[in-house]
Amino acid sequence: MAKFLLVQGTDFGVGKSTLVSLLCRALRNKGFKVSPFKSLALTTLTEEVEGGEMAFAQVVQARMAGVEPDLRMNPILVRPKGGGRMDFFVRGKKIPSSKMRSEFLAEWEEEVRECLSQLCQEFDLVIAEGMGPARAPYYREPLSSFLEFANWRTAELADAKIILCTDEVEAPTRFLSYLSEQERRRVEGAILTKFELSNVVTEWGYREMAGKAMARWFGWVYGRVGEVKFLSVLPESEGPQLDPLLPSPKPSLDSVLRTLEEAMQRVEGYLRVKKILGAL
Amino acid sequence: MTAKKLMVQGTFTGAGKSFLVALLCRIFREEGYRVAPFKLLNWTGVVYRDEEGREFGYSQVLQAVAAGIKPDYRTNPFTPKTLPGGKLDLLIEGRPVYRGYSFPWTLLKGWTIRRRRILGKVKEAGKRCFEDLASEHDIVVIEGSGPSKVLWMGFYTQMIEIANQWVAETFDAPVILVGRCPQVVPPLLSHLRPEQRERFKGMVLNPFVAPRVLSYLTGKKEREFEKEFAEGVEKEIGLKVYGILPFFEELSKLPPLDPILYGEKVPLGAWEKVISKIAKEARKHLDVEGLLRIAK
Repeated sequence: MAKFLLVQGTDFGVGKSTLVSLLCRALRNKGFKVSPFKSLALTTLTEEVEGGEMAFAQVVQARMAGVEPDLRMNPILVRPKGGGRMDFFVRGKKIPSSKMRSEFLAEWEEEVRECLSQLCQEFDLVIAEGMGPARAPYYREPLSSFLEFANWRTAELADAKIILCTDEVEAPTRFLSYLSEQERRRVEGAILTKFELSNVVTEWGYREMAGKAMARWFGWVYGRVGEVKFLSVLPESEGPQLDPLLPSPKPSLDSVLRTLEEAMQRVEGYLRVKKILGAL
Repeated sequence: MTAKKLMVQGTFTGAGKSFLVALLCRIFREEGYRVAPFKLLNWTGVVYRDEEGREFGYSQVLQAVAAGIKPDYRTNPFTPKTLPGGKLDLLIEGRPVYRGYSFPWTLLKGWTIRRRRILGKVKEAGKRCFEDLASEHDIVVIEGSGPSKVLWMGFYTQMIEIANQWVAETFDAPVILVGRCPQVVPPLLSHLRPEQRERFKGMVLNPFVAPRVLSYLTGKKEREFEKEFAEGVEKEIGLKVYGILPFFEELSKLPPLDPILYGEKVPLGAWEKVISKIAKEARKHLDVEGLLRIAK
């Protein structure tokens, strides 16, 4: 069984961070020792932990996994300050530069490799999160090199299995056509988030079972048509934005954890953990 | 029929169709046209009740307000109205034709026979209402229902087909897609027949935050990135991009415009203010002339 699972998104804001949080909790409940991971986080929301600065989403995910947040879970952090300036943190330590340089990527790679191998030794499973749309032909610099590093370079370094996270049922079909043969082999399936019809059915007064049946059927149909395997179809659940790219007010950690607990209860029946573990 | 027509279809439920139609109604009206919204099928629990006692989708009233016309039942001829407990009232032209319909029950009672008759009535009512609206206005902005196409969902698929492709075909309307993810467009269009596909003239991305993010990251102007993205997306999906709309803060503070279930109504007074403010901002991101050119 592979130890490293990478959750990639087909777009920004599809619910990757929330999905990774929920997966961390679900797998912890199954008795695994799980660690979250994000090689490169690009976000304005950060949190001070012991030894340095780390992305807020990874702190939340570590808490959901029931482990202490660790700087190795987020080796590289880029915090945009607007107007082309950014703060760069390598393992929590700020480096004295506010502009992106091309030699950074090679240095970061070493850092990521080291953190990865340590985490893989200490934990049963590492659930990593990619960044933004893992590949989309209409993204340019400076985003595209960040995206490429956080998604594909990381996958190679860790020899990862990939699960796609999407909120549009037909996005994975097209997405897969952007990948090379080798990259496609890593992709084990997709998880659809924010499937509203299940919410409608259950809130309307039908039983939970009907909502689940709807989600299953939908995943099966579109999986067959689009030649993608849907490992789960999850209903919409209230959740805060964990890694915004634009400046936004910081929610308190406790309130975020509470909403995620609620979300966990909501999606528990929909998350097919066995199927996801089978993908590894 | 004299009016020009333009249809908005979504890549999925909640793609922002209702909002875009309201926005276009507002903008076209500001350009000096007499505009009316139209949505054949609006499955919703939030309805408006007029003086005559006719009930129809509340989101059409919001669009009518944006267009500066009175609430009119003809803007929404068919309204499956959600009731608590898994039930529906079917309303045609604002009057109930079937009360308290619940799925498993009515199937047992031979709904299949009645279904064809009701769908026939829906189509008739749709034609009647649309022709009326078209003779009284300069432009009718038509809204589809749900996604353009749903596969293998039985009755739901049938309804969506009528509300989207049948409407576009019968009223001969050019279609623009609205959605947040351009990647879904090629697979979505591949489910349609070639003559249906030809009606699709363009796309509006809503909300698409990447240009704003990039402008924040680099300090360059948002407008430049929008142009760049529009070109990239056009190449990718083969449809012209008529606008990249940002995320509107004001909109997220309101209750949903067109929920399937029952819920809070958007207050009309506040809506009037919000939509005129958004329209001013959105003009910078939309190719209004281009949209008027494809309307026919």
